[in-house]
Amino acid sequence: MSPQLRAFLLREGSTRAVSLVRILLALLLWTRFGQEFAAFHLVAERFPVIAACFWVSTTLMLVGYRARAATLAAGITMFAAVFWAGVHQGHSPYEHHHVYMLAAATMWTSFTPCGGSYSVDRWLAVRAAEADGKPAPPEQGPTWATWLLLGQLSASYFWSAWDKSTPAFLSGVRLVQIFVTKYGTSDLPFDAFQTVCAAAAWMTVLGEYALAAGVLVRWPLRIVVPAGLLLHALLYLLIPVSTFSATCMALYLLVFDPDDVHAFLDRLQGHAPS
Amino acid sequence: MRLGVLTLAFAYIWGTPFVRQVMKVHQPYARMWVMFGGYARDTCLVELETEVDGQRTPLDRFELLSIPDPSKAPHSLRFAERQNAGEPMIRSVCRRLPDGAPLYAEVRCLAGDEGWKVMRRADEDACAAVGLKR
Repeated sequence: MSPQLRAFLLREGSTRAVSLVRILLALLLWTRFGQEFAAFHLVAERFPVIAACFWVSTTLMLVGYRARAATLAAGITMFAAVFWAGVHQGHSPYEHHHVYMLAAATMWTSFTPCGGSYSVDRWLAVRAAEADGKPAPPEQGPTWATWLLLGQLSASYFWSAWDKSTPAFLSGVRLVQIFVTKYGTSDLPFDAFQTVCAAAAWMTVLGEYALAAGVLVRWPLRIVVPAGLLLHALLYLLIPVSTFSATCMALYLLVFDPDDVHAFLDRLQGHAPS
Repeated sequence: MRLGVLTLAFAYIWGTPFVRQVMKVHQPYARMWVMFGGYARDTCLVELETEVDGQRTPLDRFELLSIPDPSKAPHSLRFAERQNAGEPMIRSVCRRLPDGAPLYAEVRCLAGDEGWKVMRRADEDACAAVGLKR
C-alpha cells in the first residue's frame, strides 16, 4: 500500500460535520417516513417489522446513543424498505431515487464516526472524562468514510447527467414536456420557451457533470458549494423531488474539510478553535 | 479493512448505474439515476388555428369553449397526448366551431430520445381528419 493511500485511510479529522449529517438525515427520515410508519397507517400495517426497526433505529440515530450502530441499523432498515418493500414487494414509492438517496446516505454515514459530536455518546464520553478528572476527549475520528457519501453524491450527479445527455433533453423538449405538464397545458407559454428550456437543459447537464467532479476534488469550494445548493434549491422549488434536494444539501457539509467545519462552528459560538 | 469497504462500496455506487444505464441490463436490484425519465413523456404540444375572413388565425380553445380558467378544464382539453395525437381535444373543439369553419392542428409529440415528431400536420382540416364533417 502506498504511503499516500495509507495516510488517506488513517487520516483523522473533526467529527462535527458527520455528526450534523447524522442528525439531519434522521430528521429527513422522519419527514419522509414518519407518517407512513406511524401505527395508524396502512404502510406500517403492511411492513410492521420495517416500521418498528425504523422508529427504534432512527430515534437512537437522532439522539446519538450508540450512534454508529443505530445509524447502521437505520441504513439496513432503509435498504430493506427500498429493496424488499420497494423492489421485491412492489411498493413502488420506495423505489424512488429520493428514498434510495436517503437510504444510501444513512448507510454510508454509519461507516463514519457520526457519534463523535452532538450526541449522547459524546455526552457520556465527556461525563466519564470529567469523573476521572481528565479533559474531554477530542472530537476526532477517521475521515475515510466521508468519501463514501461524497462518492454517492458525485455518482448521482454523473449518472443523472448521463441520462439527460440525449437530443430530447438537450434540445429542451423534455423540459418543455415536464413544465407544461406540471404548470400549464399543451401550449407553449411563449414563443421562445423551448429556447429557454434548451439553455436550462445545457446548464443542468453541464452543471451536474461539473458537480460530479467538484464534490470529489472539493475545488473550487466557492463555486461548487453555492452552485450545488442553488441547483437543489431550484429543483426543490420547481418540481416535486420530495427529500432528495434536502438530503443532497445536507451532504454538502462534507464537501468542506471537517476541521474547517469544526473551526467555523467554534468561531460561530464565540470560542477559540479547539 | 477500510480499503476493502471503500473499494466495494465505490464499485457498488458507481457500478450498478453502469449496469443499468450503459449496459442497459434490466436488473431492478441495481440502482440507476434516472430522474423524471418517464414523467410527462406522453405530453404533446398543440397549435390550433382556424380561418377568419379567409385568413388563418390562432385559436384559443379555452375561450371557444367558454372556460375562463384552463387549469380547471378537463384533462383531454388541457393536454394532447401521444397515444391519440390530441384527437379528443380536436373533437371537442370541432363540435364548438361555427359550421364550416376549419380547424388546423399541429401536434408534436416526443419520439424516443430524439425530440419532437410531428404527429398531426396543420395542412388539412383536422375536423375532417377525425371524421367530423360539418
